[in-house]
Amino acid sequence: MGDAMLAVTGLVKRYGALAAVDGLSFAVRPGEVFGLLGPNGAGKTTTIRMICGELRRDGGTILLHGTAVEAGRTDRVRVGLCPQEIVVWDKLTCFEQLRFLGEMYGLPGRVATARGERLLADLGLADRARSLAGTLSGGMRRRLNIALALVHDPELVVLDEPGAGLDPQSRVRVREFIRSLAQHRTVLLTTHEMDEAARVCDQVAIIDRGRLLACASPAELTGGDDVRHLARARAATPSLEDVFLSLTGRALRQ
Amino acid sequence: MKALAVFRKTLRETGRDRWVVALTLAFAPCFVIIYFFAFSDTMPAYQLAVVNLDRGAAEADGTRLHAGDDIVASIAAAKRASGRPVVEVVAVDSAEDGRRRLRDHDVAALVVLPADLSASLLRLRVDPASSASAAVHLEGDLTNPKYIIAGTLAMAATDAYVSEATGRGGPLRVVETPLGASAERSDFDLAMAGLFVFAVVMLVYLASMTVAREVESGAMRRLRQSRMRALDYLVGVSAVLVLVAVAAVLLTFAAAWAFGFTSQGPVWAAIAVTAVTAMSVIGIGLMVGACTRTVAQAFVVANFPLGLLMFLTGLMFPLPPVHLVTIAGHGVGPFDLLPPTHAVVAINQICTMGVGLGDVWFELVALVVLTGGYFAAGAAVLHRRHLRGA
Repeated sequence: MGDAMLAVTGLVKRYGALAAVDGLSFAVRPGEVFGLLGPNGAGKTTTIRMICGELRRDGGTILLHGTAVEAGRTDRVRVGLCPQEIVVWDKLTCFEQLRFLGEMYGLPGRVATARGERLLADLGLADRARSLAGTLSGGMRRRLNIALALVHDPELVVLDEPGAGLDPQSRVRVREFIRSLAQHRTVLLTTHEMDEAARVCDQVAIIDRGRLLACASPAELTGGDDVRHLARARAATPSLEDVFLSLTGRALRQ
Repeated sequence: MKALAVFRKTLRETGRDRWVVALTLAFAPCFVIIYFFAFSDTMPAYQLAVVNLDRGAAEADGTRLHAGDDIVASIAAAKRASGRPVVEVVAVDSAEDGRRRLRDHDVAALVVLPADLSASLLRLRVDPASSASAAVHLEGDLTNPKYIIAGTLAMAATDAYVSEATGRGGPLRVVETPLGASAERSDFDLAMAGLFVFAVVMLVYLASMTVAREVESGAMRRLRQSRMRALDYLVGVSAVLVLVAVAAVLLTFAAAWAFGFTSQGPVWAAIAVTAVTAMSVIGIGLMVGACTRTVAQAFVVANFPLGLLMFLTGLMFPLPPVHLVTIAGHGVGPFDLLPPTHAVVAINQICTMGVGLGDVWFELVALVVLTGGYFAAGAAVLHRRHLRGA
């Protein structure tokens, strides 16, 4: 974990008797797209909130480029969070809100303007720069949601379900964008789309009930010894979803 | 600079929320118009039903005295300094008809002049030692303040006529001196002080909804992630709300002027008082917004403080003084814990009595202290619930 961009070790978060995150450890290398997969209630969002400094942990350490992350503002600005729900200002135009949030991160107006324009172009929203966010389609709003997480050029980008509700065209655009992000930044993403994770992630961690079940590249997970029985049963290479279900079970979660 | 960015952003959002802004700005001016038509441009002439049963009486020279008619004329002749009548006499045929009008609140009081009124007065004029007496009946709803006023005015006019008609001057001569410019003020004028404060009290909706919108959308979480400080947010948002408050007050003043309102004191002083009051209302709005999760919830919850501010501060109608302690010679009661109470008193003094800010120092000090407290409380609740760490 010495050269890791993000190193999570023995992370614990409890809510009363319930351990939402229970000794979780993983490392994300610089320039890597790291997928955090798990069923509902597995502890993904809780983990993300602790990494972003929004939530105090009860145990373990989080190191961002070797610096401990605590619930405080200094660390947070090194992380760009794109929450699962779409968080945009409906009464501001796409450009206005990117510039505004840039200024909130302390960027000079000129820099915030340039960065906002570039992000809108990268995410296919340049022609809607002057449109109010409230008038955009769901897919456009989700892309704007991602742009807002990047306006301050964070070292680590955390994307919580970035592809939820996107049409195939938008999903491909976002996938390509996430891959392009990894050229300069490190990306931590959560998703329920196993196919999406297999396509975009360099490393995948599967967690359940706050514990790490597996952590490897998608190819290693689908071709490893642990899933040979799946391959035999199906007479084909198992998918990431097969591996996921094999590890977490088929029981419905709350 | 971040506070400026928050200000610009909030101003844009607020400006684009046209319905909410329009209602916030237009509510008080609309009430100005309603009040104008409800109270006209003068003090109301109190409606007095009179049953004149007086049969008249022949004087020594053969002419007839109609004291009943003379009293009715005397009552109707009572004028304010503005020359407007004080009492409007409604002649009714019977006491029963008068009582029906009393029950229907068509009139404030009923006076029944007896059949032997003129005869009794003539006997007294001829023989001052006479025990002649005529019973003038006064009826009305004692819970109706207008009854007290109309009845008193009617009896005073009757008394004055009787003194003159019988040649018996009263032992006292009452000289009336109106306080400040109160003789010139109409009910419409007097209601304006409350409406100026009402214009900023309406801000409790806008303030609470502005905060609740950020909470509901999750934008507050985004802002907390940034380098924005809680103070930046408070300053930026509050500045926009104060701007809206000043606009609302100016519009209300403009509407009042258009309908004949004039202030006896400096208008800037009244505007300054409302601007300070606005900060306390913003503080309450911040509290409501911070304690609710959705805009709809904020809208519903904001009705509670709005009700308190409207009905327990003398803003819509005068309240009886409830004094628990005395501070610097001023009685202080529970209603005095609400900043608009002091604002209404101060603006009334400025607009009606023509005083300056120095003359309402107690109200100003109370207003500033309370405003500081409410705004600090609003900021603290918002910080604790949504901006901690920012």
